[in-house]
Amino acid sequence: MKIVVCVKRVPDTALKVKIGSDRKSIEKGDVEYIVSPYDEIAVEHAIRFKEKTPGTEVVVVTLGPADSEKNMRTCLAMGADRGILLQSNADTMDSFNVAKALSDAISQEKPDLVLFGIKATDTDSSQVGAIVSMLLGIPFLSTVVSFSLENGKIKADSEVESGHLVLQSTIPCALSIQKSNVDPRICSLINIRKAKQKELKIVPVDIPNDHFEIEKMELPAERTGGKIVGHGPDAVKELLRLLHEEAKVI
Amino acid sequence: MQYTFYKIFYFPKTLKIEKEGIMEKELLLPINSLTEEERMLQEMARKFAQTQIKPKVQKMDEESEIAPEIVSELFQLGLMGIEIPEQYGGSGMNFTSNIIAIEEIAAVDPSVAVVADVQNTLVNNAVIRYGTEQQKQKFLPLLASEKIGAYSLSESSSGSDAFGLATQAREESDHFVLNGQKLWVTNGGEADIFLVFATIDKSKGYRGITSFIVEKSMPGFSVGKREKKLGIRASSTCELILEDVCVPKENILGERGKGYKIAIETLNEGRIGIGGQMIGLARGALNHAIAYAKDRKQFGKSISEFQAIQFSLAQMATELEAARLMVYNAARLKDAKMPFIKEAAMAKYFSSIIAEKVASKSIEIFGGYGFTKEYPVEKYYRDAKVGQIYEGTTNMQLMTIAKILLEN
Ligand SMILES: Cc1cc2nc3c(=O)[nH]c(=O)nc-3n(C[C@H](O)[C@H](O)[C@H](O)COP(=O)(O)OP(=O)(O)OC[C@H]3O[C@@H](n4cnc5c(N)ncnc54)[C@H](O)[C@@H]3O)c2cc1C
Repeated sequence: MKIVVCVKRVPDTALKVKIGSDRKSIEKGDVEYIVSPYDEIAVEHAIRFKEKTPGTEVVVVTLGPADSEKNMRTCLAMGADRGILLQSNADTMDSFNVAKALSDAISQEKPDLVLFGIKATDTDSSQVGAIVSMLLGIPFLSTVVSFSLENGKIKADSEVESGHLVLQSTIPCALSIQKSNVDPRICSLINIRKAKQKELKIVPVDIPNDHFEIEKMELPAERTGGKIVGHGPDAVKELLRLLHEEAKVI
Repeated sequence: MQYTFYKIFYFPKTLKIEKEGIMEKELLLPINSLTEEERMLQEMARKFAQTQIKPKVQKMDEESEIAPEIVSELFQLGLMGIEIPEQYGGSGMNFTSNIIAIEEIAAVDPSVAVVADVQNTLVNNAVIRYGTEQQKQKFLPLLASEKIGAYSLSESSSGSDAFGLATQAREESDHFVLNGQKLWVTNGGEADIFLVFATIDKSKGYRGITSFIVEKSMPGFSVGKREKKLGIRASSTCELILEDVCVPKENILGERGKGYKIAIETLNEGRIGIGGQMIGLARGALNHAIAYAKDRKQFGKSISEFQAIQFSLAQMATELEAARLMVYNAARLKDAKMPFIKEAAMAKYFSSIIAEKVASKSIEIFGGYGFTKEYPVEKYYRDAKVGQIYEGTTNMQLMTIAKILLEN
């Protein structure tokens, strides 16, 4: 089996982002980048699969600037066998362009399985996995929390609105991985050292201009404290009025 | 002390600025810059501390016991054999890596940090440096993978005056017979491998001191009482009792009569580890103080809006920064094989004072809540105190610094 895991670097989720002076992008000054948490879970799934299935190769692929190497090394230290860094400084938001670059690289690898995190925690768009699958012409199973190989097919447990679906797919196929009880491992020092020796292929790529542009970026409104409108049944009338006129939710 | 004139080459990397393919400038990076691997180690140790140690800190403190799963994870992650060469099953990193790991762990729990500190900077360090090939092959793989080590120099009547120790080693045909009592042994409760310092001839003074690798299973060896302590309670501090313990001659570490040298040299380095523990501790306390200050409201606003609180935080951060640079500088000097003894003593002296101060101020920022065990800062304060005592008291550090200053 060959598994390709697509990973994206995102601003550290523990940090508060600030909007830049252009009001269209985030301030990059001291932003630390991490592997998007869902992608990291996807890498963990791939490595666990590999540990159970000898002969499996796990390849991580990313599209990003040169210093994404650091995030790739983290994936290699977790246990991926090698990495491909599609290097571009294009700060693209266009999922189609990203997916095109990824699928071009992935198709050369001829993987049996392609994994994605369900979404990247920066843009939250959940599009790239689906578009890559379409471009590769392979089935795409989304919101997967666990999967296994059974009789040459992939059996996946997919989380849906109020339950689970058990899906079966021919190989090759692609899965988007949802958070579950599978936590990404903490890399041991030995594996950190080994990661340095692993192959990381750097391939410069040209990303076309985005099909759309960001006009404005805003942070969510600051949460303001709650308001007590009164006590007991007497307050209901005022509450209804506020919900209707101020909050405009009813 | 000529080294200040050397080109400073101990930085992990210089920053090369190129213009059209021609090197224009080569800049030195700051003292605390890390190599790629060191950064990954830092991230790993931080994740481990935050996700696995943090939930257990309070319980381990209350029960005065380190959780066994924390110990096994320390081994699993390679944090107990950081500098042990890969051929002996270790991680083969540099000295500074010890400091990085200790700092990250201490930010969450200084007692867990000292367990790893003693293992790495004292025990492993001594065996790597002075062990025979046979000793290295026998003990290093164990120390890297499953066995805790302890370092036993102090006794009830010899602390600062360490070489006034009384534990005796009597030579017999192919072994030594050890008799005596050791005190204050960190990791004593969990260790299997003990570096015990004893004298083979009291009349020779420090020249009689010899270092032995004593295994817990040796008949006559036992671990005595366990101290009840103010701080770093999850780290055991024990008495050792040696009653006619036969130690084969092949377990002498280094040369006979040269144990004093091993003690001095390992402690010179170990001190930087304590510095790492202290700056980690201070950072942990400061971070709690910052978060609390932003959250706590009095007089209708967050207390972080009061300049008095802001200045307090700013001062704490500044002093911590100074201590941190000193600790990292000492560690980098040691890795570069440059003179570091004065800098190590300064780093330990200064960082242990800063740690106590920052932890104390953090309690003040928390107000009454800081004084209770409901909140984490009182523990940092308790844990800080020992930094001024072990691996040489503050006075001993000042003596070392002054001696070097006045030497020439
Ligand atoms: C929690 C803990 C863990 C420890 N772990 C270990 C361990 O793993 N291995 C180990 O070998 N030891 C360990 N120690 C022992 C520690 O290193 C000693 O406590 C320390 O060296 C001080 O010795 P002492 O306690 O005998 O104090 P003393 O030496 O009696 O000192 C008492 C006071 O006198 C001062 N003083 C002494 N001599 C002078 C002088 N010449 N000039 C000026 N002032 C002086 C000291 O600075 C101090 O203030 C540990 C101690 C503690 C508390």
